Amino acid sequence: MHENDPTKHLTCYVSFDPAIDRDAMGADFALHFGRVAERPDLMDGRYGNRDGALVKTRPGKRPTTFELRPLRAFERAACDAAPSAESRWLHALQYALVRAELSQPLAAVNETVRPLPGQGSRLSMEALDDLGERVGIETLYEVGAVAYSRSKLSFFGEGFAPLPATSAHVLERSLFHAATLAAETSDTETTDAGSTSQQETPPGSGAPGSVTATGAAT
Amino acid sequence: MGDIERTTGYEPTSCPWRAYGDPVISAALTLRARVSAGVLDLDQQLAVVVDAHDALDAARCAVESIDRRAEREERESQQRIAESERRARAR
Repeated sequence: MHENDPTKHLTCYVSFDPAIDRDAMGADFALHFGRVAERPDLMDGRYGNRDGALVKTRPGKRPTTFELRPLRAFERAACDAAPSAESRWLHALQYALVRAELSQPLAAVNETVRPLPGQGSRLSMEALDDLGERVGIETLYEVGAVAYSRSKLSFFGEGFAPLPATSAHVLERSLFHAATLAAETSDTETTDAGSTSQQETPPGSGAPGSVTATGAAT
Repeated sequence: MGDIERTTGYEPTSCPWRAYGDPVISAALTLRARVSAGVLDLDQQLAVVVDAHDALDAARCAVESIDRRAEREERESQQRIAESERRARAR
């Protein structure tokens, strides 16, 4: 059983967020995020407990977090009716997202995203697309899978395993982050003090902004 | 533990008494009481709690079914004994 009470809100991290120190977490990484199953028939240890106390971040970095609320029965039923696992995860994210604290380097910019308040409110498809442009569709899949899985009685019993460290997406993110760090270091060395840019924009990212309230559909 | 699994179909992963401290189980028990009173719309309840409520109901039905079968077998056994005693007395 995972550590978090599935009847309460959950702060969800993303397994391939460069701000998360995978090496420092060690075995806790697999405990928190789960791991890719070598044998799909063995479910044990495949899915993480999402216990926030296990997360370790790189110095000076703030991970992107998503606050998720538990799904109601009719919302889960709507997700169940979706034709594919990915669409179920995205539907679940639309319902469950309370607030997203986007931070570099996973997101293009530091900002807060939340659906409009009100009972039954959820992220519109446009807002979800906008969020996807900022953090990447893989992030939405992972967080949506967590939202969907925790609405099931057999927590994390099905649906999602985090991307392996050798996946093309994770490698691309890591390389981009390393390149950005190298560029920042180079800028710091070659320019006057205080001129280092803090802006990082991965390929395909959305427009920068500060704190935004994203539109909702009922 | 084995009896619980055979009876309900669920294998306990820890001491069964600890289950009452589980927030989902306690929420499901509360939900069950309210559903019995007919004051709730299940669609509006948390999905995981509704699942737990359904699992509890299924387990309860399974146990009640086993109890009823045991009672029936006990009753039939006593009837057979009483019948054989009656026949023995008649001879």
